[in-house]
Amino acid sequence: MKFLRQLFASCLVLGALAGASVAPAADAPAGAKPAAKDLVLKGDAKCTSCHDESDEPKLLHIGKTKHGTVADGRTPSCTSCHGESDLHTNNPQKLKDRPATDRNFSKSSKLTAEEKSAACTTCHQGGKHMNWNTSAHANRDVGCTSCHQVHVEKDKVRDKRAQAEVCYTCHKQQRSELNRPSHHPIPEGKMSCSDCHNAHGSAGPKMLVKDTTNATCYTCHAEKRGPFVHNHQPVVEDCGNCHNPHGTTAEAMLKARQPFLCQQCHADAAHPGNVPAIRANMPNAVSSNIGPGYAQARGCSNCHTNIHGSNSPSNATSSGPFRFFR
Amino acid sequence: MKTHSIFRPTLLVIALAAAFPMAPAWAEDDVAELTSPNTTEAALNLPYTDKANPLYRQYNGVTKEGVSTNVDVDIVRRRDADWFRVNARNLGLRTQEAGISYERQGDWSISLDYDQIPRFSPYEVSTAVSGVGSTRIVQPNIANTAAAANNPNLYDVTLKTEREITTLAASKFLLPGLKLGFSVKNEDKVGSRMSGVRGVTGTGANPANIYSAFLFAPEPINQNHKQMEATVEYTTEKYQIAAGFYGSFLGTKQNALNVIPGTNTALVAANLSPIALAPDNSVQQFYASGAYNFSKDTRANLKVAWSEGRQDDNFLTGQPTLAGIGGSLNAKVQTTEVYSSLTSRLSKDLKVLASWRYEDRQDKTPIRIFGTTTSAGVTTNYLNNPESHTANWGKLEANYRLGAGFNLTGGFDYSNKSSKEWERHDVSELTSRLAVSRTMGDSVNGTLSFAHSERKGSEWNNGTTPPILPVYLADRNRDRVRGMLDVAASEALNVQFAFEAFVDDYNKSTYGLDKGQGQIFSVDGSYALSDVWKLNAWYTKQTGETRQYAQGAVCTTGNGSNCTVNTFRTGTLVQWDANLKQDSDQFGIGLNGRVAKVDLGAQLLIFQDKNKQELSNMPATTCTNASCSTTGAVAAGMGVLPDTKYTQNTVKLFGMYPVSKATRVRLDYIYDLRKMDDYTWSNWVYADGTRVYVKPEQTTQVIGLSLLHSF
Repeated sequence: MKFLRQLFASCLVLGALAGASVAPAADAPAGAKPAAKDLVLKGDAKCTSCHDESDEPKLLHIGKTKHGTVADGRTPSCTSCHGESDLHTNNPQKLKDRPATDRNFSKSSKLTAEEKSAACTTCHQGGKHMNWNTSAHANRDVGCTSCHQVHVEKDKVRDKRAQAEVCYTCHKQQRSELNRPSHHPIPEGKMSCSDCHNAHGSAGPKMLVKDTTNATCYTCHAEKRGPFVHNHQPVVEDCGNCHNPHGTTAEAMLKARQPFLCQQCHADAAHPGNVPAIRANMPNAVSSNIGPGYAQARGCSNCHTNIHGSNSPSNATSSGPFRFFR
Repeated sequence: MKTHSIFRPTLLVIALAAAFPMAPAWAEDDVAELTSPNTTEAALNLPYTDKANPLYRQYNGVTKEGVSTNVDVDIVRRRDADWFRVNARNLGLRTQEAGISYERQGDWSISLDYDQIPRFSPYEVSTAVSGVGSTRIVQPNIANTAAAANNPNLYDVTLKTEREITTLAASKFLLPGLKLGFSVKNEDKVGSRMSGVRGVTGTGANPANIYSAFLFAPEPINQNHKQMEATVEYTTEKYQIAAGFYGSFLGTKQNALNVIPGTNTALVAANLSPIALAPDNSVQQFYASGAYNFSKDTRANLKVAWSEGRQDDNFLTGQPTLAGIGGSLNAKVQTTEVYSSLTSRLSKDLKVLASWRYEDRQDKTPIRIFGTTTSAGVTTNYLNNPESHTANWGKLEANYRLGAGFNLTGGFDYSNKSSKEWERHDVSELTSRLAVSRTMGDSVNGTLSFAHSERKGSEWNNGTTPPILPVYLADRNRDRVRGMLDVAASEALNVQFAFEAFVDDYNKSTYGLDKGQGQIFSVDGSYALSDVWKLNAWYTKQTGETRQYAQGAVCTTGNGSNCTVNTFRTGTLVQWDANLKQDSDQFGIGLNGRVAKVDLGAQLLIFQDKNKQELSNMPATTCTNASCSTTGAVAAGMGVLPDTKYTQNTVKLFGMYPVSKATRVRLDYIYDLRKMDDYTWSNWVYADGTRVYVKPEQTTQVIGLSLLHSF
């Protein structure tokens, strides 16, 4: 940078000397400084006359983005987001460190997340952003620029392969759980956090994209929706009663292994409260009936096959659909 | 990886322009290049996989060793406000996806996307059962006296599901601020997933029948799911409104799984086949939402949605049913949802938030008698059980700026759910929380929060508290603490600490979940070693523990008749409890940089997870043989479940060399070790001889060569 600035200054001096030997244009007032030219955005000369690609963020790269698509008349100028920033531009007190722009988005900014986000919500407050003001993010000092990089061509949080890394900045538990063997394919890049959550806020719980947990799950698992002839109450109530969608060690992202999970509701009678064991450590008398079948393979679901609900109209009662056998 | 930008400092160009007359033309070209999104890139990827291990292959679509050639494509073209994009990933693999879109920014857009998502089971199956993937599972012919586990006609089966998703979306601005949107998503899902059926319980002492209670019967999946959404939005600075329709239509191509027995009568799934498969169903929802800015500091939101779900798929046939049930369930569920909120900054330092969410789910499915039994002259009818419920969620929160960058946030969350179908008609929970945070400091920021929740409910239906309360309806106290500290130690070094803990206390229930607790601690650090070398590392430790109580039957005394088929229902009830513990450690480190012209990167993930299932002591005596003709001391190890352990060690390395301005070569190496020590399938043999294996140690290595070219 230092070298570049020195080179820049040298060239300017050289340019000035060279220019001095050239007769000024007839229509240019003597001594007048040529007006700086906009490079990307309307009115950006105010900024680009000093800032360029050697700064972070790379200033001109905004031209590669939708914000830099000036043919769309709605696109902003630099000052739309950063403010007029006259103190920064003119530095009237000749401070060594120039005053920051009126709206500064760096980590050392003195603005609150809410004040920073106001630059975005001026335009982005409809559609999927409508509930931003009530979202957990907005109310926990997470601003738009906490997650989004406005000046880059490829915003990491909008890339489904990279998005989770951004979310993990705060959501450590979810990072931990998604590394477990039973998980949604987020680490593999086939899903993203935003498939289920609207980080900009929603009318649903946990900022889910649909109005309920179940409605969100059914966007991919509609076969669990039913209604069935025989509904399983906790399934209808909330998928999250049994599943941890971020990942578990137990199969099927169950919160606990079977039968322990099932015994959180069914453990006060002879059969459902039976002792789980594995084939190797149960005496035959027990294992031949039910022991290993409790803990191994699919656990309780070895028999209770249709645990999400059965649509069988069979009249069998003791071993039938009433107990989700078939 | 795929970006191709060329650094040419514009200031230098401008300076040169000032010095030399030819410079302005240069500057314009360079500015155009720096501001143009236009890209045409392609990558030919040649990853060689030495072993397609079950845990590694789960979602990555590579199921065979060798080279799995695939192609990536990125094309972006912009002219004025018109954008044209084509992108594709993993073309040639089962995970392939592609998209094409055209958009006139601020006017209209249309896009078409295609995606394949496979899932391969993380275990291997060896079976003699035929018909896997179909609706007709045929059990092998094994003599009653034969040892099923020795059946010689086993073959390997990989259970998998594959989704193919195609999405068409379009939007159009009719007027400034007025936007129409439409999307339709078509998903086909086929394959089969692990499932089974209960056969008949064990008979005799022959080992062949020990597991005759369980037959391998994977569930076939062949379904189509269409989702469509149409929206209209109108946005002004003062208010925003939207209305829309969402429809979800599931069509399943089969409704029953038939298990055909072989010659072994002990394997006959008596009266347990056919098994009902998921029926067709649909939901259609209409919604309207809006927000209004009363001022720059006060905003209100409202959403109202109404939906109707239907399920009227034909009942499966071929089994005894009662008269009068009709040909389908004819189910209908109508749901109304309302969400409203108000946020306001009452003063420079005080902001408040209030919200309320309401759900009214009315299951209007007709109730019929599907089964009936008569015992001692008393007839019991078995009905279908539609479930309706209503729920309210309220939130009140205030945030106050204390100064010096500190904030204080306090609030209450309230929920109330009620249903006449539940054992407890009404359950409410109130959470009180307080948090202090510092978010505007130059170098140190953080948050510390506490929350206390109490969940209570109405009397239980019969007026007496049952011995076990379903976990989601039971009384519960929950305390939670969270903390996060972000330290920017220097321009180059940033360290973040996070901690969270909760304690649950379920009370008033003799059995079921009693207590639970969990903690997670995490530290993340990033360090800029130089302008080009960046290092980041993190460590997370997560622990959890729950205790639950149960009573169940075991064979403690008696004779053969007492300890055979129905022992588990009639044996002496014993009291026992389980203490379930979880402990996991994760460590990750990443390094990225450049040597000469070569970009280099390395990642390491080490993950160790351990689960303990500690069961209390069993009764002093129990049956020691199958017929229970003798009793004795509890068998060694009975009531003990082994710990389960999972380990993952993954190393990823890459290097990318620019052969020319437009061409790069990338080399990747992945070493992936997984260890699974889990009793779930250990020594498990289905009655039909099917075995399920989980490889205890799985090592996969991938060496990948990619050629990337910008056109």
